[in-house]
Formats: sequence, structure tokens, C-alpha cells
Amino acid sequence: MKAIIVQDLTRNYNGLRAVEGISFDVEPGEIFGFLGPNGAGKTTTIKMLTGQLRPTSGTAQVMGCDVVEERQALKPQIGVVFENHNLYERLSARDNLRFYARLYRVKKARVEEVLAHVGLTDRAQDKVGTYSNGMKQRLLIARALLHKPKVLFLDEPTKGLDPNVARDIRAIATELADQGMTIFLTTHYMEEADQLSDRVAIINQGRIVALNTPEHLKVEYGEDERTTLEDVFVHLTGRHLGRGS
Amino acid sequence: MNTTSNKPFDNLNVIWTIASKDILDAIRNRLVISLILGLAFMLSMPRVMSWMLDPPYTTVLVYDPGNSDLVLELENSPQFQVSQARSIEELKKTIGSMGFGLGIEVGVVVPADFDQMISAAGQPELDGYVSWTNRAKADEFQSDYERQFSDLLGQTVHLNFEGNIAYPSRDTALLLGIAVITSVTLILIMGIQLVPNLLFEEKQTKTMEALLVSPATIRQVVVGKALAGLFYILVIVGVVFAFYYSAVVHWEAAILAMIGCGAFSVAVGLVLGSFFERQQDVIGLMMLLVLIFVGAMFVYMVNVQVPSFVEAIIPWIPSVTLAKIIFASFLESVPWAEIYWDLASVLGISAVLYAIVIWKVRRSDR
Repeated sequence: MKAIIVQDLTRNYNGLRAVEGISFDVEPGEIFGFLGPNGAGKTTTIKMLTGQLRPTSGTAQVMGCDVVEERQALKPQIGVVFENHNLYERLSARDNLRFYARLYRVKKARVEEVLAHVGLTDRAQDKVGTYSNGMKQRLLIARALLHKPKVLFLDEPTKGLDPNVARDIRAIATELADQGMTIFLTTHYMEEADQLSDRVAIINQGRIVALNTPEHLKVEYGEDERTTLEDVFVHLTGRHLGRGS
Repeated sequence: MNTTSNKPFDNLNVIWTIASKDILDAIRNRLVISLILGLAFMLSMPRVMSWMLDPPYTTVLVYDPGNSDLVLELENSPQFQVSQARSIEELKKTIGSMGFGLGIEVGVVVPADFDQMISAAGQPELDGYVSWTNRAKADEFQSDYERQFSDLLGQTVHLNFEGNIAYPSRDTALLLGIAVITSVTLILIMGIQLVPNLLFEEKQTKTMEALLVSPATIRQVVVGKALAGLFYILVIVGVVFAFYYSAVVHWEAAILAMIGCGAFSVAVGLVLGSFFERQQDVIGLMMLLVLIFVGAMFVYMVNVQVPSFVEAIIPWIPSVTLAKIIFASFLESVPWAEIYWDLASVLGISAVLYAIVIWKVRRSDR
């Protein structure tokens, strides 16, 4: 069974097409990079795949669950690390995780496991408001892993982090994929996408303009062996990274 | 992991998990604590004022058709200030419109033949009246006033307070009317301020997104927030009734008022919280609502002259019906049929608001 199957997925906002008939699938245990400039439709796609947003047309299944019709069955199959640090800042890291553990009906011992996994045990009693960005990101990952999801959505997981923390986050992602977890990754860092992803899809103005392994894309769109994934990205989207769309 | 189920227990578990987080958070939330402390401060003001302005004498209201020596002695005593009523009805009405430690606490009816009874070395008995808020202190007043009156006349005087409780009437108890308006206003402000904030906070910090990819559904989130909001409101209503504890005559009506206040305040709060994203977006609307609710109560309670179509609408405005129910809990006899009807109208309007919230929530993924 494919981990993710997307067929002709479209989403309109007030008559404007944010995502236009995209199709792809993701294998179990694969790290799938989903790249695109700002406003290309990455977040809209993630929202549809995680059941937060209803597609205008088309279908999508995650671990065999239709994202519209079987939304509740989908939820335990997925974990999401959001781009923004959406944590309860007045609560401690442990209380944040215990809250979600109760929602997922996960045992308290699992909270301690994930805290240890992301290296936050020593600061677990501290309020999240006192955390650095790197610690918050670790906690977001811990939260997403709490219920042992089959598919993990990582939305810009290393954005704004210092290189050491970013490397730790990438190591965690690789380790999870090695354990068989499917990872759907969006990032602005092409080097990171190149390093982590088994395959990447590049989305521009709501349409997928390329989908293949990073190596194939570099060969297909590059001029020589020095071509980077960033060169491919700029070639396909006509935009440099970091610029608004 | 077994995380999906449609069993009612799981549904309640999710709702309670969300509600309990916010209830516990309220204890840590400075805004909530400061609003409750502010409410307690406002409610305690009349009592604080009465303590601060407590004169060195006691004002007693008398109805004295025989111009007795007792009243003359009272007027000459530095311990008393005498106020005269023109009839027993006026005396009862005046005492009944006081309370909460403000104004005259005791009224005395002096029989027309009081002086003759004294001259005949009899032991005259006077009828004493206390405000309904002081009804628990009637025995204390009785012995206190008997002793002071006997000392003044040099002869034993009996006072009878039994059954002589002066209750407020809807037309005359302005002080009570203001207390009721203040209470309903504060309860509604709390609902309008706190309940949407529970949703705004989740939206602004984007934690709502995390909640919605968890097993919680948007409906469970809204119901959880409503429960937490209801808890806030009931704490506030509890504070209000704790301050007016001595004034409540019919706790059944008070409980109905609490139900109505909770249902309506939470419903208004949820509508604001579902339709808007941030508190800043609704400040104007919140103020307008408070203005309408408070204005309607003033018009109704103080009998302000308004155009006939406004007059027809005002009794249906929920703040007015809630004020009527709270007011009824202080009265000697409750017009139950009217109160049930008022409660039904508040709950009906609340139900419409909840239906609007459900409609909005169902469209949240579109």
C-alpha cells in the first residue's frame, strides 16, 4: 500500500486556484521533499493531506484513509510538525505533551520516551515560553511522534534554527525514515532537501512542475555535474529562494 | 495506537481534556484572575462604602401616629437619628428598598397609645421591621434595640420582629435594581470577554491547527471551550451570588438565573470566537453588545420612556430577562410562570446562537 496517493487535487480560494490538479504518490518509509516558492501551494497541500482543508476537487489518501471521508481515521496515522511553533507557552513541555497524550489516549510513559528522544527531559518542567527556537522545534517533533504515526509531515522543520540544531533535526528525520516512517518534507533549504529526500516534487503556482529523485532532476535540468538542486529549482520556478511570490 | 473511536466515552474524554486544560490554565491566567478580582472589587464597593461612611449614630425609621415621647427621646439621643414615615406601608417600602448594609436597617411602628401604656406602667410592644437582607439578624436587632429603647425610657420596652421582614418590590427597589443591572452586566462582560478569548488564543497561536490534526474534532474543541467558558461564568456568577447571599430569598430562581446566564454568555462568546480571529477585531462589536444589553436593562428597570416599538422589544432582550430572573430571586414571592417563560426565551435565543456556531464550525474546513 502506498503511504500517500494524491490524484488531481485542486483547491480554490475565492475563485483563485491555490493548488491545481496535482497528482503524486509516496512510498512507505520514503522521505518525500515538497518544494516550492512562497505561495506555490505547499501549505495548502499539507492542509488538505492532513484533513484540515477540504479539496475543491480531486482525491487524496494517506495510509489508505480518504482525507475528506475518513478524516478521523486518518488522524492517528499522521503526525504534523508545523512551521510555526504552535505550542502552549504557559504550559511546561511535559504538560504540553500530556495534554496531547490524553487526546490520543497515549500512556504517560510515552511522554517521557519522546522527551528523551528529542533531548528535552532535563527541561521538561520548564514553561515552553522560556524555550529557544531549537527547543521548541524539538518539542514539536516530540508532539508529532507521541502517538507513533505512520506518516510525518515536516513543514519547514529547520527554518530559522542554528546549524547544530538543524543538523540534529535532520538526524532525527533520517532515523525515523530508517525505522520505516514516511516523511513528507517541505523546506526552503535545497541542500537539506537534496540531502534528505528520496524524491522531490517541485510545485510552482499550484502545479507540480517536476517530480523525481534529486539526482535525476539535476541530470534532467542541469547543465553539468556541478548543477545543484537549487539551480534546478530556480530554473523551474524562475524564482530565487527567499523571495516572496 | 488505538486512537480512533466513536464511543461516547472517547468523545467526552476529548471534550473534557480540552476543557480541563483551559480551566487549569485559568488559574494561571492573569487576565482571568484580574477580571474576577475586579468583579469582586466592584461588588464589594457598596459594603466598603457603608463601612467607610458608617456614622456614629443609628438611623431608625419610625411611624409614630401618636407623637410619642419615645420618638422625642430618640431625636434627642446622640445615638440615633430619626426619620419619619407617613404610614406603615411607606415604612415597609422604605426598609424593603434598602439592604446590603446601605441606608436604614430598622423601622419601628409606635402605637398611637404608646405614651398612655408607658404611663400605666405597662410593657408596650412595638412592631419592628428589618430589610430582607438582614432577616437573619432579626433576633440580634431585637435584643439590641429593646435594650437601647428601654434605657432611653427607663422602662422595659418589647420589640416584635417576628414575621416583620420588609421585602423589596419591583417598582421601588432602585438600589436592588442597580445591583441586578451591575451583576448581569458583569456576568455578560465576562462571557463576552473570556469565552471568545479561549478560541482567539488557539487561533492566534495556531495551536488550533495542532488540535485539529489530533483526534479532536472542531465540534469537540468548541464544546470543550464552551465547557471551560461555562466554568468561568459559573465562578463569576458564584462570586456575584456570594456577595448577594443574604439577599437571595428563592435559591431555585437564583439557580435558574445561573443556568440562563451561563447558557447565554457562553453562546454569545462562542459566536464571537467562531466568526472572528482576534480580540482586536471584535472590540467594537463587544462594546456595542454591552451597550445594548446594559441600556435595555436600564430602560426596563428604571422605567425610562422609549418609543413603543423599543418598549415591545426590550422585555425579550436576554439581559433584561436574566435581570428579571435574578430580581425575582430576591422577591418575597416569585411569579414562577413569568420566570419560566423568561428562562425559556433566554435558552431559546441561546439555542439559536449555538446553532449558528455549529453552522460556522461545520464550514471551518472550506
